[in-house]
Amino acid sequence: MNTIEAINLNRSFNGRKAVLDVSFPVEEGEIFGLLGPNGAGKTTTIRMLTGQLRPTAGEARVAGCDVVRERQALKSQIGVVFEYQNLYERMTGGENLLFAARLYGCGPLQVREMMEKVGLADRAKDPIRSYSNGMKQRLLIARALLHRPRILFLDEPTKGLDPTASRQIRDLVMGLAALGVTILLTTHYMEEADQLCRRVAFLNEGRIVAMDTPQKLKLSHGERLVRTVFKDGSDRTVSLDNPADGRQLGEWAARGDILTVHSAEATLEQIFIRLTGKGLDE
Amino acid sequence: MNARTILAIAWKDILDAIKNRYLLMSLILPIGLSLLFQLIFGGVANTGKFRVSVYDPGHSRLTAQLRDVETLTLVEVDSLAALQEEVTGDSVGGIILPENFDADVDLGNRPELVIYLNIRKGGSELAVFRDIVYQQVWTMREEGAPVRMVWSTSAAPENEIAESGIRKEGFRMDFYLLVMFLVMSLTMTGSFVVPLLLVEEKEKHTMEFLLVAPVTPAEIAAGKAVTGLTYSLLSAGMLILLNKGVSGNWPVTLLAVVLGALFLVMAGLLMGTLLHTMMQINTWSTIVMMILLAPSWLSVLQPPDLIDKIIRLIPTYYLVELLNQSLTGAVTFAEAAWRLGLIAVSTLALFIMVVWVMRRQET
Repeated sequence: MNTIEAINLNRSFNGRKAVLDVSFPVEEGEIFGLLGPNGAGKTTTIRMLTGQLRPTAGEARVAGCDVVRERQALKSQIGVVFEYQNLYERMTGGENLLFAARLYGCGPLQVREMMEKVGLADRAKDPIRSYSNGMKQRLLIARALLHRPRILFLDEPTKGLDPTASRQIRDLVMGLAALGVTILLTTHYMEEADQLCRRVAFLNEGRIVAMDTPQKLKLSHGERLVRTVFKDGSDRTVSLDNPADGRQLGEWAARGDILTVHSAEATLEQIFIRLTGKGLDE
Repeated sequence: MNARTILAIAWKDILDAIKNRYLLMSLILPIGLSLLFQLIFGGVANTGKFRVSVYDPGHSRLTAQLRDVETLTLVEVDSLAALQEEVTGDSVGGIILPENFDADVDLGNRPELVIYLNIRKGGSELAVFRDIVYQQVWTMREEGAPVRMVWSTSAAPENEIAESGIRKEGFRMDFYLLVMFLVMSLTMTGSFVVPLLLVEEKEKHTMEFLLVAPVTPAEIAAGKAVTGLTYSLLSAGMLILLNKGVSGNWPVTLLAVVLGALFLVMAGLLMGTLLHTMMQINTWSTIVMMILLAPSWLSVLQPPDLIDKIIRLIPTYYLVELLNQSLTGAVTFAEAAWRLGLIAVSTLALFIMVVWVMRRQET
């Protein structure tokens, strides 16, 4: 069953097309990644799916609600973690969550529970300005999950975080998916998408240029390569799709020349570059 | 409209504003200025000794009252020419009392009292003189306005000062200052604090969080309005208590303050929905505040006719007029009704505009 269904979504700003005919389904409990460089249309797509922005054309249903006509009903079904760390800086972490809880009709018990879940229970009374970026990001996730939404939208959840904080966020996301929460995330970190997402869509200049599981994308758009390191310190990369290379690999193995063998398949980033002609940081 | 979400937003803002020094400053400033002016004007009123001339062929009891005022040196002249000479010379002002003045006051005929101001004298001296005249005149009759005052300048006696609703009855210096600070407090809260609450949500991107939460734009506006109204009424209440403003027709004062606060809060909400940055707020709030505060500053002066006509287009003019009259008891509820209605209608029109703009901006 599809929890998110985007059909030919379009959005223009002053005549400039930001999103063009974007269509994709997201199944219940799936982690779906929208990948692309800055300005590709990821955030605009999320804003349309969360009811913040009206599509110029096309339609979308999220948790069974039309994102234009049933926006109010949609709000209680979704949690959103924004690209910006939009917390109330003069308030404490606990006060931030308590305010959100009041808006969603939740109680202080859920606030405490969420603070514990994201590992911030002992910092609940500290002002936000004393939080690190990683802590703020965890608090944002806690805020988005207070009302136990069916679907979580994460816009660049690890942007600007150090590796440890990024790892903590990724673990949190994996844990949520294990609980059956449907997650749509945007990122321009391809490794992160590869690690987290069941399926990904490449977005470039407002259009989806490819969409599938990371594995299938690699198989269909990349080559099956193996990097061989020899005992004399040299190395060589061969293609498993080339019969001659396959035979050569067998011979090296038979002669006992090989020290180690590594999979050298294309990364998502390389595939993106191959498909769009540009990198993710452009 | 969900009361729970409106109150949640208001409560968050009320607590948050205390931690914001800019907001705190704008809330405290009018109260601080009021205390400062109390000291300054109290000092002027107590230490100054003014020369005032009176032409009173009918030997009115008002002259006797003025004679007893310690701060006045009363010069009783026997002709209009002598009075003219005094008010172009040493006297701060001159008063002409008609022959049957007391009898007309007692009968409720509201006789005409012509008062000349010597414009060569300082503004504070003139203000205190006017204050004394009003205080003494208003003791002559318990109900309603006892006289029709016609103020004129000694430089151009033939050119009578226009009798505006603000000035014609019940002027008192202490109440003039109270009205000025009340309007200043309500205007600063309305046109600076309230838009700041909205613009800060936009600048810090917390507005996006509010818009994906189960809250409608109207509820966000209402939450900010409750915050603004709470601070406006708290400040106004403090100003009234500090300045002994529970006097005259106080229910009209209360109603005028509440409606005035609502109007100014709505004006602030409209600004907050249209503006996007703190810099824009700083610029536009200053301009809007100057316009809205103009009637309270000009109420004691005699602006040219054109300016007088222009300030009547500003809704705060009617607030100033109402407060000036209600504090001295110079207005009944029935007389105040149309002006209260005017402020209420302006408030409603602004609220509709706010919700319309927010809905348009929402997507």
